[in-house]
Amino acid sequence: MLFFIILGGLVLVLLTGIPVFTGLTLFAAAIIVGVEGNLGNLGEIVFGKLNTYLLVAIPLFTLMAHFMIRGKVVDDLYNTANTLLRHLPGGLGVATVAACTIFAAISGSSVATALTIGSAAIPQMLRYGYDRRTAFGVVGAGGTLGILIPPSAPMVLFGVVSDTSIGALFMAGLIPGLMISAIFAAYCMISARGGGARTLPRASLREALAAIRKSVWALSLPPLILGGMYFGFFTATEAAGVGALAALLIATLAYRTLGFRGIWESLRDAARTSAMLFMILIGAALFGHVLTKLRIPAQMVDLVATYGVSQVEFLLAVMVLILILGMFLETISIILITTPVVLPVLAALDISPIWYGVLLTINLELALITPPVGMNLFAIKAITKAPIGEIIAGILPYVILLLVGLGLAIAFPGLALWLPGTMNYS
Amino acid sequence: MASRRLLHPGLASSIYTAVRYLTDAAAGIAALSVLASLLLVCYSVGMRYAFNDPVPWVDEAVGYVLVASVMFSIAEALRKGEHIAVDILTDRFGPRGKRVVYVFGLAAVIATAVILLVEGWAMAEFSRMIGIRSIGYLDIPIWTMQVMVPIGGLLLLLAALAELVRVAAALPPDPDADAPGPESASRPTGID
Repeated sequence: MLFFIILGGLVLVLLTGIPVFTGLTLFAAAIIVGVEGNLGNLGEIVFGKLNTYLLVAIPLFTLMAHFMIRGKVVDDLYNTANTLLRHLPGGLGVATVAACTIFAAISGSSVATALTIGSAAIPQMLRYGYDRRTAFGVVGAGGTLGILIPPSAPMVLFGVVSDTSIGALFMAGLIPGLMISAIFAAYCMISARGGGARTLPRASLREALAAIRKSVWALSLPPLILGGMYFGFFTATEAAGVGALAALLIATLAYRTLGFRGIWESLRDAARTSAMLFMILIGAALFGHVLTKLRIPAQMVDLVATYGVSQVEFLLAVMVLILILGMFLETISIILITTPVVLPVLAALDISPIWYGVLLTINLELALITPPVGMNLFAIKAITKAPIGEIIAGILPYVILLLVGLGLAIAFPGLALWLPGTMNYS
Repeated sequence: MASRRLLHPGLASSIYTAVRYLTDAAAGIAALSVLASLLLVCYSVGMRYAFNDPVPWVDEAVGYVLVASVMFSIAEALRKGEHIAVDILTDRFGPRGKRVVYVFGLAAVIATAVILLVEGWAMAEFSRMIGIRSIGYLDIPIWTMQVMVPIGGLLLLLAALAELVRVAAALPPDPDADAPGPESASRPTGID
């Protein structure tokens, strides 16, 4: 009960519109002072939380995506997917999902995926007679794959907070990510029947090969990163470093589109974007410290034991809570606020944190497209200037499809756990 | 947006520009820190595979470099209006309401910055006083790394005060910023 009072208080503080990191920090600091009379070792919590080797994966993966975007290496991805898939019913929608899936394996960000692919895909879909809502929906939903298909910044954070192998989490996200991508593509094909969208002629072999050649460098990066981690050549942080270096070399030597200024801006952007995230991490670490001091995680475990809650009952309850939080808070805060409380219960109920991490990420994908605070909704609005109501209407079927995906991932844990089970991770 | 000036624009502009140069320089250090972490991680991988000679101190060094990149970036992120806020309610406010919310938010940032400054300084001072060294291969006085926390707090404090000065003098938002200040609306970010 105390947890829900504290959570409610925190949500109220955040709704005042103050930056999330200050809200978390001040809220936690006030409780620490209230309980202990002083701020204790707050400085050491801040320094200790930031001084974490694993976290460096986030700025480095961000840097990799910046090099690829600024160097225009990913610009042809949508056209390649379009050339290969345009002959299918709803082909441009299927191509959009495919391009989002590949871009998701280059960028750990759903918003970046929606923005990058959406800028090319939406005008093209509208030009060929696709309904506006259809175009907005498929880009917004396809973009959410950014955080489920590795690399994924939210998964790195969950891995660090829960002390779970980030490489294993990445691998666990791959099959559910591809499954949801296939569900989206199938929906595009089915919903296109009887609509006004034009189906385009199949590309010739020559055309297809030329299209693949254009994107070959962008397509080469995901196997390098994921393969390197799967076969144990790199840790997640090392994969991020090698991926960023490869992206830099591709953009400067192969494409020759990234100059010194672009590199410098990419470094600054990566530093700033990650700093913003890590400041929330600091606030959440203090909040987690408060929860531990108040013995809330332990009380949760007792509560679950007292009422004999099963694995599935607990997971469903947590998923509903996260779904509700996802309507008001952004993904990073949700991970950081809920994980310290959920983690001991996962251990008590013998639920794999890797499986939970994937379920959490799928749920966070929903948070990205559910109003009123769905970051991908704003991304589509930024590209199209369309009314938010029209975007929400377009994205609604995909909310249901994502819920189906979440249900499947709960019903069949092997979808998430099989692939990491075949690799040797620590 | 029409608003009453509480401060002389010339003075406010000078203060704002001085702080802007400072945060810009700090952001440059942060960018170099990210570059350093990239080079260190790749160096470590290269040494392990090319020369079968793992570099054990890299993990520790990269952790410290990360602290630097964060602490030297947070002020710039504030100046650019990039710190995430939940504006689901406050977005519905009029110009005056948004201005009040923004100033309230800056006050919260100032309080947080003071906590980082004071608590960070106390930590570094304590470590220096009793001579604590880093646990690991580098074996350096830990305060030399911990001191980045109060430096980050100080930079954030100055950036927040400069932003308050800008709002008080009703100066236009920084052209370099995405959409800072009470003029901002909901916008997507790059980490979700």
